[in-house]
Amino acid sequence: MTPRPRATGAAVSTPRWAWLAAVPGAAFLLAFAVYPIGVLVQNSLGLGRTGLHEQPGSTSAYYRAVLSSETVRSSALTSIGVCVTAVLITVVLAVPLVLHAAARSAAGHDTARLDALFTLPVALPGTIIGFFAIVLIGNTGLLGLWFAPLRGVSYTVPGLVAAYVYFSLPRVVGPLRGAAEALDPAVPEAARSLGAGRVRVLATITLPLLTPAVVAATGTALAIALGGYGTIAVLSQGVRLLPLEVVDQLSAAGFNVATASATGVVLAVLACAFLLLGRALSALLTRRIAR
Amino acid sequence: MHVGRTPRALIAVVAAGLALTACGSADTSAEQPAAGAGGSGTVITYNSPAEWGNFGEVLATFTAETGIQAPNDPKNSGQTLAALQAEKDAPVADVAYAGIAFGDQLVQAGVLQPYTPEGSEAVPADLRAADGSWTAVHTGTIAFIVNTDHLDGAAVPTSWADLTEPEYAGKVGYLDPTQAAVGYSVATAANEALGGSLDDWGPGIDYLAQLKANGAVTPAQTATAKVAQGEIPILIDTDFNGYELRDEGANVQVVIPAEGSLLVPYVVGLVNGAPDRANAEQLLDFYFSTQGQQLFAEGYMRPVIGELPAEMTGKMLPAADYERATTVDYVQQGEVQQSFIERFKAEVGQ
Amino acid sequence: MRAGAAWTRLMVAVVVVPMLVTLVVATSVSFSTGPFSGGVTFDWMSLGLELLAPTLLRSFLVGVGVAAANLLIGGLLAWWVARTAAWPARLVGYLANLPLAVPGIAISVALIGTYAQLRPSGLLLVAGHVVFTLPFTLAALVPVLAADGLVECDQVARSLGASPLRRLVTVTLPWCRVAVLQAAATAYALSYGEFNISFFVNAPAAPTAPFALFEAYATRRIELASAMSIWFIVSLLPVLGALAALRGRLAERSS
Repeated sequence: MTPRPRATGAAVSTPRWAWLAAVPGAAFLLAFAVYPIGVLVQNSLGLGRTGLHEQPGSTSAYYRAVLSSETVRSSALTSIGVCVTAVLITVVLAVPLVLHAAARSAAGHDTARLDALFTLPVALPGTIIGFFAIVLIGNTGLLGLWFAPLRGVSYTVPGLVAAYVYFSLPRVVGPLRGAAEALDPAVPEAARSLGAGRVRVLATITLPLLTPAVVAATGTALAIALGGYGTIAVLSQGVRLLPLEVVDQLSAAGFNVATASATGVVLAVLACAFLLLGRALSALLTRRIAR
Repeated sequence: MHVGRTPRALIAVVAAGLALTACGSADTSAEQPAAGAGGSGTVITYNSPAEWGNFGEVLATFTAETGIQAPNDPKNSGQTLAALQAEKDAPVADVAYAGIAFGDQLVQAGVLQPYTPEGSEAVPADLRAADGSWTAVHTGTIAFIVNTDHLDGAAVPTSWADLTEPEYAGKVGYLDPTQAAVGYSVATAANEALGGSLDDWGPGIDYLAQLKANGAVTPAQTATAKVAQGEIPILIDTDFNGYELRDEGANVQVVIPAEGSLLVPYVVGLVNGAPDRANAEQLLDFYFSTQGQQLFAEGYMRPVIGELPAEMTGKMLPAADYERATTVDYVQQGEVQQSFIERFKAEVGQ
Repeated sequence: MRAGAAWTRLMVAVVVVPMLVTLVVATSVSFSTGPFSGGVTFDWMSLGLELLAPTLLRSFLVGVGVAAANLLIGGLLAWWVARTAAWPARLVGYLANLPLAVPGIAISVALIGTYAQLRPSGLLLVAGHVVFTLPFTLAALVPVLAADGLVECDQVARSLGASPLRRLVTVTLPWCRVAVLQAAATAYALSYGEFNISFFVNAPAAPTAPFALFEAYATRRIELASAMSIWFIVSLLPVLGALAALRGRLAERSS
């Protein structure tokens, strides 16, 4: 589902002055996205701002310190573990949902309210989702009052996974809803008319057709979940995730901006890797299906 | 294209929603008292949580008296230092409040400017910066704040050693010592009480590791509300927060540990390049005025000028308990914080 | 189909139950020993609204500004990306997606270091939010603008002598009405709840709603924090509901 423009026809109707339309956007991106990220990398190499206890001067020491730090490594592993588990669970929860919604919409029912309900949580900051976890499974949470084993779970890894599932749900349902809607209903219908059972159609036709979109959505959702600070800021009591390390480096006495920048770059590389992997796999799968 | 029924209804819904929010904000501004001494504008203090002592009332009284808005800010001392450094080129804050251990760090970062508030000449020299950049405004004592409703049958702890016992597993918390001044003071207090010193952190680090093994948590922001609701039944924090909670109706007891504790002064300073310098000076003068110090005293925060009135000490722990609280060389405490943080992260972990 | 319907109902419960429980906590006198222990009260709700209302207004204004900026800057950019087959379009597409990968708090620190002057006026906050929402706007608008049907109509109009502006107003815009509304709604929603990039950029004297909420979660009582959360969710409904209904209506008309 990459928005790749078609090479046919489009080039013919593009006027020569079309590039002017790109100027405001490109200028904005350069000024507010590319340049600050450049500053981030500059800081991490010691060439930009440094903290009270950091020595300025070009060095890879901050990267070495960050990559060899036990806390950063364990935070990174916990982050990847929590986010991958959460997004995979989210996908399993979302796929039947979007298929059902697409079926209802194809049958002529109005799914606008359902769609709105599932996309509303995208406007909730990560902090409020952490709060939901506390209210339900915190030390004095409601579910914890009824089932003692659930007390305080919100601050453990399973609790974090649950919180990040809620966080990722709208971000996965959104793109997949469109993808499910765009599936050609003729193919499964044809298979059904040839006698294939419902489960068989689902497993051999619908799901494989949906897979490229699922893979791309997974990659994007993973990248966003990895960078999410709000949820872990509210729920951190012992378990540490990578965004927490970045902010704590800044808040810890000394404003260690170079170390924080290095940690930030490491986090960005991880998130970028998942994003690109998702896109690349998705494109690969699309081409295989097209064949 | 005529505007059909549905778009009109939608516009009505949106307008209603806007009216709701605008009404809310209009109500709030209408509730603000009329300007007292004819002042206007705002003064921003970094690190002034409403739930810390009675900061909420102090700032509200200041606004009522002068008409200058003084919003609360939840940053802890470390985040204050970070924010002030980050925005050095275009400061947004006017006043900074921090634990005394952060005082010289703020000066080193160059984010404070000298200013001697009216009435602060009476403050002893060891509670003031040499160049007048910061002045201590009140002190507290490190104590356990215990919510007796959520101890699950265990007795109220009375000593540092008690907290490592299994019956208090998962019930203890103290603020993050790498960021919050009170958290660092808790670590210092435990260290001093158990035989260490600012040069020898061994006993303190060992103790904190034991606490961590017993399930202790280290939140970053002021967590006194969490004690009241039982999320953190035993919070090692300042005594004044405990007394305030008790007065608000929570079943809370304040305990000064048997082995010893620490006095923690808190300082205020004028931010370098403060956008609202005049308002900031008014606020600082207010802190050191008789009224300001009295207000802090009513929040159980020990004033630096004068003594706590008898009616307050009557509601606090007996003086004998407070004799267990010592002081340290606060300047040195600030200097060794970096090496403490490194040891803490390596041996205790957050 | 029945399994699908049951699953959908289960998922609806998963989404809605936390909000309902928050409402229960917000209306309890004291939640420390269970729901409604001490009775039911609306005191927390009124105190919560009082504290949150000015921040909600600010979040609304920022959200509207961000949506408008997205449609303007992002719309133009999406049109160019959709119409250009060359590599610059692909590069700009990747650049726009960069903020998805780089953690928001890292961008926040970088922004406050480089553009400190823009911070007090709130412009930096809007800019930060636009940076974060631009990839979603492009994702929504580029496929629609690249559609063959639109290109054909546009060519036909051009061959009939319509000026570029006239073509924009009468051909392009009506074609992507639904996608434009979708992009606006997404940009508004994401900006309203944005926390990471705003963390350091946010002005302390005039915080947006997510910050008032964060402060409440960290330092205030759970009942008050719940009340503020409920008001936050309620404040989302008018604008998003209106945009969704409008979109549904337009989608019906164009199908």
